[in-house]
Amino acid sequence: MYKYVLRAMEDIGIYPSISLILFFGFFVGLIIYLIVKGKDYWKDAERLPLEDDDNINFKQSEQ
Amino acid sequence: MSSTSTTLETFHYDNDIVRKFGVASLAWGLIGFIVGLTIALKLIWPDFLGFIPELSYGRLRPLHTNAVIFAFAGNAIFYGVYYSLPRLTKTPMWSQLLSKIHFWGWQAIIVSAVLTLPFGINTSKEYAELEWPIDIAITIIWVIFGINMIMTIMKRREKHLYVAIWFYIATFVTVAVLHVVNSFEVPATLLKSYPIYAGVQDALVQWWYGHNAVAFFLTTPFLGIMYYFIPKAANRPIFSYRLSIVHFWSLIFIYIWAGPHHLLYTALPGWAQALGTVFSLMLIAPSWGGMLNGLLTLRGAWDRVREDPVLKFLVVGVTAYGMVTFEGPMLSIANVNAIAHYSDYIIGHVHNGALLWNGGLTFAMLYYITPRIYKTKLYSIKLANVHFWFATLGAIFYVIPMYWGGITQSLMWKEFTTEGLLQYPNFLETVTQIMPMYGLRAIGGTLFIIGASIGAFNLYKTARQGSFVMEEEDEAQAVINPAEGTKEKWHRRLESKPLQFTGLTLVVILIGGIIEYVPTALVDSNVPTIASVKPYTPLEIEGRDIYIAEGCNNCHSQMIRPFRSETERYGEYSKAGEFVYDHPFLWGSKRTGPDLHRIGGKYPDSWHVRHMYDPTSTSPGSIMPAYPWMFTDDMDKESIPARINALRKVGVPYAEGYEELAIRDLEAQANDIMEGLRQNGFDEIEGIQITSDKQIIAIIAYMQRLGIDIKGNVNPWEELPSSERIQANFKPQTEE
Repeated sequence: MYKYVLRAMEDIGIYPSISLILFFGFFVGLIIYLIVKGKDYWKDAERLPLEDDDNINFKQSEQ
Repeated sequence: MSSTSTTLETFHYDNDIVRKFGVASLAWGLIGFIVGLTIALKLIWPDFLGFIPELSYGRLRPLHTNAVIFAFAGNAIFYGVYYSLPRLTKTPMWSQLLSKIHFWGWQAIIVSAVLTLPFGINTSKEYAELEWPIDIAITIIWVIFGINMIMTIMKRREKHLYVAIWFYIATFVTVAVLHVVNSFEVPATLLKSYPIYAGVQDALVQWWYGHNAVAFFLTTPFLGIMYYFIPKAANRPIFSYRLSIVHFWSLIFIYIWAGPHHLLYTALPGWAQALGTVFSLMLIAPSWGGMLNGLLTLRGAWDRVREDPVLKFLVVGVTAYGMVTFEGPMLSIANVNAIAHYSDYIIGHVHNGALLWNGGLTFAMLYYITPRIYKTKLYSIKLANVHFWFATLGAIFYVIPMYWGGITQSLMWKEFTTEGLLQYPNFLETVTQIMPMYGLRAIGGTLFIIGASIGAFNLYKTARQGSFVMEEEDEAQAVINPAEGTKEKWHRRLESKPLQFTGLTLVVILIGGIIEYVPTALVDSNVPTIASVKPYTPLEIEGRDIYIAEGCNNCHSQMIRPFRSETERYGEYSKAGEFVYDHPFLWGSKRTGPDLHRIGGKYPDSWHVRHMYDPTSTSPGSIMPAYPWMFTDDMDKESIPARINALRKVGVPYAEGYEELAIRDLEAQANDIMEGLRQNGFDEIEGIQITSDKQIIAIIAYMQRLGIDIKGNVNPWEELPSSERIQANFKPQTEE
């Protein structure tokens, strides 16, 4: 059943091209964005795993 | 963090669930490794442990892979997630009850695998062998894990989602999609089902699943673990947070496409193979980006790697990840694949990943977390170092012989004499050649197990000397309203929006699946039909289900690639149209024994009798186990009608009502085979009287049917009582 629905869609061939452009665009955009924003923009985020260094348990077990 | 509130809230992390998953990972890991060693020894001494059906190679191999993937690595993933997620979100897991249900449910699933796989209850699809009731249980438990995780993220006290969490989210979403789509099956009985896909489509779905089980079960969660534990252990932030953003999106986008590289040179349509290769090659970029991001985090801290066993395991693990993800794309290049596929090279490749990458990261976590939740120091750093060297050397002793043996054997398969004949026409010659490598592999595995046992002892002693902190206290600022401070844009903003993030992840992983799979299902020309290909007779169905139950597909492929070396050895190469009634497909992925696709008619029935009773009697030096129970165990006639019905539901054109006549056909064909054996004096072997209701008869029927349809001169339906009524229904499946 769904076979006929999909087959009936016109110009289905253009969809892969559109998705290629979209995804290529996404990655190029992402990289430009990351370069523009610079390294320091993420300073707080990258320290997230280290934030509980003052937690009680950690201190006691620090070797 | 936002400064809207200065109230500090105190809360408690649940260490009990962390400990439970850790213990489970270690315990199941040891069991999984020992089962692995057992089957390694069975390849050297086929009669090791005798010929007990429940301990035969074909049944234990899926138990080994499932135990290592889902029990060892699976519990390790949850160990890492339940430890790191609350600490990254500054909140306990959302529901302790769901955590408990998740833990016990997952262990129950593993136990059910132990109680089904050795008893021949399996679907034959690699890493998805568990039957349909367990598939449903997996879905429920997985969703419970997902709800608990997403709700924890929703209730977080930290606005920003750290990169490790993105990988956890991608793991949850993708594994859910993979598992559900690959498990569409129609139950025939309580413990038997048939997939709705057949042949080429089944193969494509299975390897889309199989490949991405590696990607999203053995890779993405462990990358999340890497992004959390390397900074922790090195006490410095990740090398490049920006790289991790690119790493994440490109990895999940590209990985999902790469499945068809498991099916190069098979009957899969060429365009799908090409897509698989191209995306596999691209995959090297994000994989190595991630690896370098992990390793470069240690810049300036390399001296600590010498002292800290946690860092040692992490560094070797991530390095192994780099090696494996270099190998993967190389193996996806068609002419490399032509040599490596079906050989032990692939076994080496996956153990490089499993032992060092998954194993390394798991043991790193165990050594990191255990002292911390027990408020003590590690019992012995020295022992941990001993473990490290046993693990590393064990893996090397495992992997290198497999590479060596794999390539040796594969080149022998392809070797021609100057006259143009196969240099090694007897498959067995290529097996006996690599037996020393199988021996070395078992030594490597033993070393690894010794190391893991030392590790278990060390962790046990660590726990004994400490006192367990069931609930670990922490404090953080009150809940931050995620809607606040939304001046942030784009990815930064996305990182504080878990639901949008999850949605986008889902979209990204669906794209590849849809574009690659849907056309194969839709376009008929992808699977050209062959008029002479007919469904299996009831006796052949029974034989095929025994073949599946015994796990024959673990060592025998049914897919002859279009190479001269293969057509010379096995016969005409396999065509897509030959598999349209194969629910499930049984192409296999490894040739420990020869391909069986054209075995039909190659030997007389009596040969199969002798071969199944004692393979060395027909093939001296064979490492195939014997199947004496097939001569004493009755076939399962009772469920034949239910199986015919189920197969009709998935699309095999058995006429309505045929289930009533099927047993009569089965018995007629069985009697016919039995009569032939009797005439040749093979109705008895070693004092065992063979009768027409024994499993061996069904296996012979199936063997003799394999690959003969396209020759068009033998029609197994011809002689059957309901032949005429039935065959009218067997029109080629074209809709043109």
